[in-house]
Amino acid sequence: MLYWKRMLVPLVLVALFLSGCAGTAAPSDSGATDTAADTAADADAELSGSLSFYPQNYYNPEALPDAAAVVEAVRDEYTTENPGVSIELVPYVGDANTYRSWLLTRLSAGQAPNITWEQYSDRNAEGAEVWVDLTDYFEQPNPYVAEGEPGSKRWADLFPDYVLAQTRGGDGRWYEVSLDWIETGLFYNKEVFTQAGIEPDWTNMEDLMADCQALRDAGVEPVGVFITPEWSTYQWLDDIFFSSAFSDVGPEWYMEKYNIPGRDFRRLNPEEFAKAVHDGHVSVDNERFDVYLDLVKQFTDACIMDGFAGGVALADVERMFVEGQVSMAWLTTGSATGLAESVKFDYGLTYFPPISNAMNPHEIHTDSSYRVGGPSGNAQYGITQVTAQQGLLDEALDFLMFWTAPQNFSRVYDSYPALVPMVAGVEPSEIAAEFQFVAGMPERLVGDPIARLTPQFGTEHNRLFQQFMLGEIDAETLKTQYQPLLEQGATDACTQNEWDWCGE
Amino acid sequence: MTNQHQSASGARWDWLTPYLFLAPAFLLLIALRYLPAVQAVYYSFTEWKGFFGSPEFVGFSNYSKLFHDQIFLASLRNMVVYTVVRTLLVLGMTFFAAELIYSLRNPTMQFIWQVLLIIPMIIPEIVVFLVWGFVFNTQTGILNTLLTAIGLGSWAQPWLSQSSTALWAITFIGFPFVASIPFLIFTSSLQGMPGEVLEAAKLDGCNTLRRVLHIDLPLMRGPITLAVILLILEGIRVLLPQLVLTGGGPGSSTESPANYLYRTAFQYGDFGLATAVGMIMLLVGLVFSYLSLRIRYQEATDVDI
Repeated sequence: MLYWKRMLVPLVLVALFLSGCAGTAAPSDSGATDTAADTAADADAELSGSLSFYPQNYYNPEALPDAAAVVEAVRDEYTTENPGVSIELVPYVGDANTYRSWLLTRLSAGQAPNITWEQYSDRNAEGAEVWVDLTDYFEQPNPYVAEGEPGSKRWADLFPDYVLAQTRGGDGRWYEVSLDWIETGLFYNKEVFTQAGIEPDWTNMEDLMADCQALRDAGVEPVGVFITPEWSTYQWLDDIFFSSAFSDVGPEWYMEKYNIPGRDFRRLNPEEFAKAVHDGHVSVDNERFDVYLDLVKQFTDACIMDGFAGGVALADVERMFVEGQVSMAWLTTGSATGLAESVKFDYGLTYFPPISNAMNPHEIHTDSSYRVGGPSGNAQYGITQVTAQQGLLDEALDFLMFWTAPQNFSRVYDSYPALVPMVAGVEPSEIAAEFQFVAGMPERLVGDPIARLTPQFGTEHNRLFQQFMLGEIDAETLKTQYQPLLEQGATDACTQNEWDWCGE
Repeated sequence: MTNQHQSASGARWDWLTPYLFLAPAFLLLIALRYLPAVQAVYYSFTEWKGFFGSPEFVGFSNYSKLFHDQIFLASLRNMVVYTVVRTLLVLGMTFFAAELIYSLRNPTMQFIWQVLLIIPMIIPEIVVFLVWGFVFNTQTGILNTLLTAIGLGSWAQPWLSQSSTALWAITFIGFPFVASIPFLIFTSSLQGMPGEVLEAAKLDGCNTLRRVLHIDLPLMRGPITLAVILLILEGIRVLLPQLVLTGGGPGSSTESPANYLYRTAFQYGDFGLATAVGMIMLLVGLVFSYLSLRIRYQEATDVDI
């Protein structure tokens, strides 16, 4: 008996200790979205109420006090004009993963900021149950834009069409405004290149891979790119190689409703990609899939640094470039300012060359690579459904229109000009402008794997490709395991978004 | 008479005082630990997207899904390997270190060594993992540099970047493990051992090895069991190496149930499935802890059963 008494106490303690792993907060209801007609911001109505706003990197008082002061000033201007409205600014929480946990916890408790940042792919996956549908409001005038300027008649005119296309949800609706853009580029160490007798004037990918070998021979790791099951820079390469392999047939999968006049080659919307999987166009049985895998493996073996599949994050790649451990690093506009301050050698900015028909007979863009950039920036804002339930939708919309007006967002952007602004009338910073040559390239056919179908598909995609790139599994094994993933991802995306072709 | 009455009355209510002091802590414990744990049992049988409305009862569907998911099964395998190997390593190393310190004759030196070995415990765990990330770095890591320096360059590996070594690499993080709770448990237990037993053993000519095997170990079954349970729980809940270093890869070679749970809840928003993972972790923890306790009390001579 004493034995069991002794056993009971530690077992209960163990149970309580571990229950921390399983405990969760209570669910909250999320009501239906009010229609635009019901809740449209009425210029004559007096606005009142307390809002909270999470501006992400633009409001990081500890790390970026100057930018934070500008954000506070813009907020104060608004509240002075609208004395009935108070706006609490929520300081920067942390990196994407930390923030995501923070946000989901608060969304579950109905306590998320009224207007808040989130990655567009995650936001679109959550859709109208969590976020206010902004589609109809995009058609309304932004009263804070000067008469005759883009946006004064129709709010959406403030934003480039390709930004709107890429941030559109799988259901064809918009749940956020996206005000800045991340462009990518290949930073290279000019001194190492000179020593190895290399110029970044590659005509095609074969030239680059030959130079990678020369760099390896000189004892320098060529390209700083990493892959983990989570988000990683390898995903950009994956976008390029997939776009290349399927470039001749990809445009056939476009759906009329997503087409943009004048853009013959554009990124597939998640619905279009899922439909292409559903219809068997994107399949491991397609010969182009073998080309895609071949491109990935050839480039990995020739160019990607050793140790790319673990223990490395974006900050490590930056550090490795700064310390001269890799001769090239594929980074973004977001890294450019930091590099300018810390790199002690001569360096430049270049990009990947096109893929020739010798490497890929299906490639249609033999004179240019693909632009890897996207709206996953610092200024992606949506309004929570809880805001509508609280009766604060008019206030939130009005402030968001105020915030996006060029005379206001330009001040915010200039205080922390890390990315490329995507609001008509806001000029890019000098460093961001250096990436303009990438902006002229064709858009990639697909987005990052984590945004291609579902986040889960992206994680599993990355796991398999990690092993394939490392040579731990061969192409046939990958294909056997990949096809069910593709199909499941397409089915899940279809079910979540209630696309009408799901049951076909 | 009045005083006597008051005193008798006071004595009658004295028993209540400790409960009153315990009540706030107990209420918080119920609210923050018991209730979520009970709720979690229910949520594990539901499809619940957190903020996506109410949980919907789905029976054993979440559990069925988990046991058909190769990644989750791999995470369980990794957890067992990590927990068993790390528990044995930590137990062995910390017990050895505690015995070494105990064998020092000078109490001041004992104290100094103890402090020196314990100080690293104040370093935040996340920093420890980041530092070990540098140790395992393929290009400039201390480990590969050291191997190359001593002529074993061919042994240099991308430790965290290949499936064959990644799990072992994270298992060895923190080596030689002395800055840990088990070390504290062992040193304090050794110092608390009855002096007369040790004196008698010395008089009987018992050498150090025999003393360790026949006196220290049997007398320390309780502390060792406690350390084992703590290490098992740590192994079951391991998450930081995955978050900081590997993301569970390459492939699924370092995936852990806790990382799976974290991703399922906070990246995929599938709280029902994540709660089922938590329940499985809880059950595994209970089973392992039960077995540890059973072994501890089986044929034990140091306790009255």
